[in-house]
Amino acid sequence: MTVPAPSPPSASAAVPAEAPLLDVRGLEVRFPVRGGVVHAVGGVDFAIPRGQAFGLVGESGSGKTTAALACARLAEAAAGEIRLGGEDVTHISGRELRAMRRRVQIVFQDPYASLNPRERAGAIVRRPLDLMDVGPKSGRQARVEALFALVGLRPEQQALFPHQFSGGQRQRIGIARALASGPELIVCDEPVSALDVAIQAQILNLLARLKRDLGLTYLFISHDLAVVQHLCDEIAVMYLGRIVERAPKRALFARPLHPYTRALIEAAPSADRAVGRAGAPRRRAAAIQGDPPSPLDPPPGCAFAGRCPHAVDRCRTEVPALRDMGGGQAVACLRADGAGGFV
Amino acid sequence: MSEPPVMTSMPPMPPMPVPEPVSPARQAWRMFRRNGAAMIGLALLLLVLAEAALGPALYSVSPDDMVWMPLTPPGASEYWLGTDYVGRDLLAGLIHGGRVTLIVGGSAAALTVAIGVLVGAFAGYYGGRIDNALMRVTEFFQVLPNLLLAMVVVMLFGASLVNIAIAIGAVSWTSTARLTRVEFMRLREMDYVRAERSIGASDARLIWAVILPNAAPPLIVSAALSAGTAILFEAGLAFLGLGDPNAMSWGRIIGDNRPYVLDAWWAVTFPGLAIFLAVLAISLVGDGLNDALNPRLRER
Amino acid sequence: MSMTPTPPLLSVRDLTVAFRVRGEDAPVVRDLSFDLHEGETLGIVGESGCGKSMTALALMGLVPNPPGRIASGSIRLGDEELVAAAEARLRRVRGARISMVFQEPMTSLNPVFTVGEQIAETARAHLGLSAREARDRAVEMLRLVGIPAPERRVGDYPHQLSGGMRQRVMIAIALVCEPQVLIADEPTTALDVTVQAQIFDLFRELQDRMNTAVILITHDIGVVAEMTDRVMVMYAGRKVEEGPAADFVAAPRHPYARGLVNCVPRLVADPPDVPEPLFEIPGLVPGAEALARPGCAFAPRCPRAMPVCGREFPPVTASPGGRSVACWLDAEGAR
Repeated sequence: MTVPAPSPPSASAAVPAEAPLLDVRGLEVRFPVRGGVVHAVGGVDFAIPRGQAFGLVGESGSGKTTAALACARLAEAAAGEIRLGGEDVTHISGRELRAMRRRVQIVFQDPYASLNPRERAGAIVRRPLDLMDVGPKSGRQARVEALFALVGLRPEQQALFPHQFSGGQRQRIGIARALASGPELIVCDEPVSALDVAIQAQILNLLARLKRDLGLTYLFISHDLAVVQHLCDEIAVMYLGRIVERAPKRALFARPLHPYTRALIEAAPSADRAVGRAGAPRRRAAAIQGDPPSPLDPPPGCAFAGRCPHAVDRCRTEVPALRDMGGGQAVACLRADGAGGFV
Repeated sequence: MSEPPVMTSMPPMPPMPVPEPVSPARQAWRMFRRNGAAMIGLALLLLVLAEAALGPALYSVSPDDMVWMPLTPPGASEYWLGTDYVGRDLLAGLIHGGRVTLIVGGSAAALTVAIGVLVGAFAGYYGGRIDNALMRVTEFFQVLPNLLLAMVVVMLFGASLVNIAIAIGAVSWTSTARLTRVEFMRLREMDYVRAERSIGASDARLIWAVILPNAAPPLIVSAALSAGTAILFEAGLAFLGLGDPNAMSWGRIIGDNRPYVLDAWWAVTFPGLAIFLAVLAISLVGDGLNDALNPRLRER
Repeated sequence: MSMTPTPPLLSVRDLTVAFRVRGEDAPVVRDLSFDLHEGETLGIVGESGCGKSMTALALMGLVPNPPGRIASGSIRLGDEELVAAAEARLRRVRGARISMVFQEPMTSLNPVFTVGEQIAETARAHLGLSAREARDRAVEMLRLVGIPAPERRVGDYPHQLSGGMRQRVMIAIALVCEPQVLIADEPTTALDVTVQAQIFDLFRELQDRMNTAVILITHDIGVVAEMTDRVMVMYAGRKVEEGPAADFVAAPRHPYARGLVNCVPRLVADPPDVPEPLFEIPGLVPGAEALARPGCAFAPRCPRAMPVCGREFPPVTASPGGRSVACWLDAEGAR
């Protein structure tokens, strides 16, 4: 493979001295809809150090995918700032934008929708090389072959069309396409949630290996806490367009501070928890009731207040800001005391 | 826990032979071939096209010359299909008229698709104000009475073949435009289009090289059907006396012989039958394409 | 509660469902046998195309025909044989004694009728209620599935409800006739985890109240562990392992089942900094051609395959505690 491989990043969650590769400040994304505007992302801050995987978790409608698309400049930021390696890329266009796209690539959720059905697999992987003019023309064919090998596909498969591949293989093609330009940051938008469980492991292992070997940085979107816990160094939990908690992986699971984070962790079905408690009710009752509010009609105050067991009157009127709780952990809850309790 | 996992890394892929590449077009052809009615339509269409291409060279009688007694029934002379009201050879008329009819029908359909795709693609891809403006124009053309507008165009600019084709195309592109627009709106949200955007593809590339080929299946079907409609349209205009007076077409034969329909059934029946067969062939092929290009039916 | 000696409520024997593809019968479910007892929850797990959803449709008498049909076998509900029963008879069973909740709550409801009308429709068709009674019943069902203000919600159209609420309505429709068997095909896949937890609570509650037997089709081993009493693993149309859920999750026997249980990342309280590679099942999800091959369909992906695996489908080896597995490793070991 001819992708330059920077030195392997430190795996620990400690903040390195270097400026973060991606720095997002006050990001807002809005969509016009009939009769109004949806604030899909309503002010989000996070930073990803080079070589780390940052997980954005949340349920459908939480704005995590929209936030990620904005970072890849595939959705327009209405407010805020996106910095890549210190350089403001929020509103660049033309040549600058094309140069930025070489550095930021995306792996999509549905491998059945993300590959052009009329193109051969080899052409799909080669396209970014041609469009972004990566390397000399003469070397591109060899690079496509190297990319195929890198993601575990065989060179003979280049001539096939997408419909001739399984879901897992298609996702490998999508990953090869994303790697083609030698990007630094890869946005992974639920890259395994459309795949069969047995195939998910193959793709997750591939992503972990690529991150290690190529020194990649990931912005990883998922609704599955276990997947994010497995792959990411730092995690932010989103609810209705905002980050409600952000923490290094170990801190988040050792001491979740936001009631919603706790509900997510408790609601995730777990084989380990169930086994060994044979007999009687193996699952506890759901931690929280009700459905997430509609992003079309967000409640005033904390969006989670309506479902929160700890909510007080103040929560329904005041939007909580993300507060630093030490150790890299931050929470947007008026009542969290920073030790896992509520004031 | 059970025993630890047997292995933790990917073993070599099982040695499976790589299959032959099968392009979407080839898949569609396989599907089309299995469709009996569509294959009959295709054969018929090829026959009609071959006749229009080669017929005039093989059958040298002029369609414009008076060659025999007017209104001679079929089989009563050396002119098998008989003669029309001025004694012109009906068979020669059919053979030469086929070429004119198909050329007018085909070019009108091509024009329909060209305008429709252009308008629909821009409206569907850009949306917003561009979409709004283009759709108002489309609606304007849609509410005009088609035949009347075509008649006005032909009467104003003269009944030449080119003008007739333009007139037909100008009034029938609206449904193609709407179809194209809807397909573009659907496809522009597909992840593979987003993926192309993420590697810096230009709008022109996205519209013409990425979205259009994927929007093609329903457009091909609609193009086939609009060719059929255009043939009928041309026949209608010619029947009303608005055909090109210098070119024999099937519709014009019917129009010319209309007053004698009770005395000479053959003079209107044979060209009518020719129009019917040509349009039927196109419809059968269009139907077959519709099934063959539909990904949901393909897996069966 | 599952191991009662009473005769099973639902008994499936040697069920084979075949699809006609290009003039040839291709099996999608093969020689499937299992029992379901009153009040029990049976989990069916497997990858897409393993036949789990088709099994559910066969139980409902809803195999799309053509091209599919039940080629052989028997499905007995109580003392009634459902295979080859007349359509009129099946219609009385379907919805009344067996009912089903589908994966996608967005498309399973008819958008042009109110949710109340859709619940009432089922009640009227099967229970012979008057319009008035059916409406009352609909309100009662909405309350039962935990929809707030049911008197008001009964007049809502599906698009006015959230995904979780729609799935609750689907469950209300499925339960309106108090069926003996409820089949749920990935009922929470389209829902958020916090809502999924509530739906599962509802299942438990209703099961306690009505003693309904539930067949839960899922791909999530966590759900199997938390929700089911017994589990059945399917691969390429066949049952390859069956047993009590807790025993199964703790120690799966079939190499495929073992892979399935071990390949998912587990949520833990103290995760390592650097991820351990996950266990992988190599290769691809089997296609239709794998189902027709002789021998064990998993053999090409199996790390412990032997020559015999490619020739002949293994016999089922039963062991104490209600466990059974169809694998040559166990069959050889038993000899």
